[in-house]
Amino acid sequence: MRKVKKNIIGFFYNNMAVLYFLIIVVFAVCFLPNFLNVNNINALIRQAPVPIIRALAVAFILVLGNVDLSLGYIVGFVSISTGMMLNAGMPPAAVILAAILIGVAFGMFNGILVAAMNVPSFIVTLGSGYITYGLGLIISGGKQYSNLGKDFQAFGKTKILGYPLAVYYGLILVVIVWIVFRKTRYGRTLLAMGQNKEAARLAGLNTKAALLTSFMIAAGLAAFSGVLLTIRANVAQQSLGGVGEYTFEGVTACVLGGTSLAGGKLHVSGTFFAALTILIIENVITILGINRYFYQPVLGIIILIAVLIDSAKEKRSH
Amino acid sequence: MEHTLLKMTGIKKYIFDLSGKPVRGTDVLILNDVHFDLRAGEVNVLLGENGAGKSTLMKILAGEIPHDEGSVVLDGEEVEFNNPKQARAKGVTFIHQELNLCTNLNVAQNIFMGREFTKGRMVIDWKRMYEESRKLIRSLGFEIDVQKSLGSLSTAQQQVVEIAKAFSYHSKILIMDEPTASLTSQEIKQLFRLVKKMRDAGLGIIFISHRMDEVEEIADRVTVMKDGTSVGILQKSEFTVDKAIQMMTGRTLENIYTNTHVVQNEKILEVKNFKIGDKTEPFNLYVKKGEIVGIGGLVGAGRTEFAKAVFGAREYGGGEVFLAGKVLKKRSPKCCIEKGIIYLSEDRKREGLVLSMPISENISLASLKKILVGGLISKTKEKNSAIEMIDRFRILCRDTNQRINTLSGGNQQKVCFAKWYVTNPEVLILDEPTRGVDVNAKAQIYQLMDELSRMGKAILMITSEMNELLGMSDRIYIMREGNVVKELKERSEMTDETILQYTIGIK
Repeated sequence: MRKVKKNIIGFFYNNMAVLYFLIIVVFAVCFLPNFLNVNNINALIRQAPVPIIRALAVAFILVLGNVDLSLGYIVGFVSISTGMMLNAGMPPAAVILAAILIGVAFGMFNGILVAAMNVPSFIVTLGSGYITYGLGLIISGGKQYSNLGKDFQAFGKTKILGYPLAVYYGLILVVIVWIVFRKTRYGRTLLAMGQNKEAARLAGLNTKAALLTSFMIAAGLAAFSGVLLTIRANVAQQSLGGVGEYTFEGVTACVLGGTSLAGGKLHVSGTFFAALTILIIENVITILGINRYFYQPVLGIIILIAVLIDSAKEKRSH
Repeated sequence: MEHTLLKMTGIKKYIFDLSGKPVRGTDVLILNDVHFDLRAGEVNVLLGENGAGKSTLMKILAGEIPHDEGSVVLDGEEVEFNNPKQARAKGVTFIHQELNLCTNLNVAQNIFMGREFTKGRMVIDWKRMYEESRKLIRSLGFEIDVQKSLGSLSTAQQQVVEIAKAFSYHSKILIMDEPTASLTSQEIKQLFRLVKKMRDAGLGIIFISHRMDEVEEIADRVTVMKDGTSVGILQKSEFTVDKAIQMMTGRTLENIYTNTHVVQNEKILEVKNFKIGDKTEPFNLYVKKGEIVGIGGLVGAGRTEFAKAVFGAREYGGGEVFLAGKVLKKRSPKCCIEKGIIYLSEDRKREGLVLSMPISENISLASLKKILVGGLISKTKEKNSAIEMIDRFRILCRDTNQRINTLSGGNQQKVCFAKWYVTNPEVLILDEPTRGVDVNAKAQIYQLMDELSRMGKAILMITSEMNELLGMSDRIYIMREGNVVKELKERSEMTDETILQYTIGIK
């Protein structure tokens, strides 16, 4: 019995996000009768993919100790360009592919400046974000597009076993990213670089390429989340991603999940549960009818507590 | 001066947690009945392997951790320090290996941190700060610009500042932990002069060191520790390196260096007209199969730069590198490793190990291709490889998942060796292979090097330790100011004196 207890505590110790998730779920189930309502749960499930994919995108940036402030603007640009492409009669499949490639291209821009020219990522992405936003306004003339067509929406909304495809994309991507970081050389390279770039380089790992591609993958994932958002809202607009907030919300989920801002430490499953936890907290606040303005302070407090717990754990391990 | 400054008796310390208190449920002693005394006006060298308990004992003296049993009597008064501040107030100052200074502040600020001279209550009296700090440094026999930022000074100068700071606290006891680790031999001489000066002024100095040649030079007495106990005290007159090593380990000096390999005829690595930078002289160098070639020289002579340039990790000024007769163009760490050339960095913390990763992942870092199954990393293969290496190199650890930062220096270095060993190299460039490594692990590393040579590998060994250079090298190159100034081929040429002469530039 002692060994079982030790293992359970040990598990939660290493997976705090799961603990947070369970706490909020238990709280909601016990105190909010409306939470377990089928419609509510389904709504939550349908909302889940985007925050999850957003957190995954940010994870690729955080693992190297970088920051990408342009992700939200890329999402907006991608959204508006899908509207324009669909409007021009492009087939939905091509539009979606193009959207992701556009994201990757922006990521490549960021990556080249950071990797080849050594400009700090904060500065690069701050600037590129605004450039992206401006470009979006220029090409769209400030317009937005709605009623994007059944075929396009089918990509995300087709139901399998009662749930839209978007949900499955989210889950599949979590698994893929998990595998990448645990089992691929690329993931190992990122983790090593994040903690000690020079050691990784001297060990023969291709650090420049890894740095470049981390931005490309992050932007690609963000673009994908933009496509899913556009499909769900059935409108293509610049502000869809929440522009500036996009990155911060992604960082919030990652940090709550146990990923370090300094780099080198990444917790994919933690990020997944943290994203869900944040989503449920928002849901709880809505159900309780609490003033919406409380959402951010509450989230802020939770983040601080989580970070304090994390740093206490760090101290202990030394 | 026979006055006993410090007497530590019967010191016991159990394994402790971060607060210094014993870990509940275990009773493993790290210090078992340790006796240590220090007289005013003497340099007492504390000698012992990594893990012998030297640092722990000194941390207790300096107030960083509490002792569990025993007594500490300072100048006739029994003391129990709860924190370093109390220890400093009673005259005990600890100069750590990693200097505790702020590199962004200037010399004066560092010396008087926390007790700055002020005009009135708020404004710093810079004039006085600079004056007093200048006086302090001059009294030690040095001349340093006190307005310069600490980061712009050399390690040796930073040390002088640290010592000046300690001096200004009117310390009675100065504890110095491996102070010569990153100093040139000139700077070491200066440091020793300073240490002797303070000793003559009546301070008691505890000097922790691994380096035997230094011990002989600076010690009045040597206290040897082994496995948590004080094994014995040697007077200066009684001290021989052999005796000390025997007390520390049960091994004598001759056994440390292993030399059973035979140098083959084929040149495996050769550089021609090699320039480290644009303005340095071109030189040639080669290593044969089965050979251990030592590269000596002062810190800053360009040895590491040369090694990294060959490895493709650094820019260089020109020249060609040949592996088994074929030119290596466009070198990079990755391609060198693939071709069988590896570089063991001199700074394992900054360039060798990923501290956040466990042992197994550090070992596989340069050879991820070898643990792939179906394109993905196989944790089983990785673990097995690590177990094999832990066994082979006798790495002391709990399991393959242990974090690197909990291993001792010697074991960390062995992990680095293991990392390169699994890549199956033909040429090994080792930069200070036994820096910060205890005698036991050193001997094992020398054995390994000899074994590799027997297998026909070529080793290029950069070292600043004279004994190591002389004990392990088949041939020696000496570098100075970015180029090779001398090649020593004959055993008769390979003496301390000759090497030193070329190193400094007398010849």
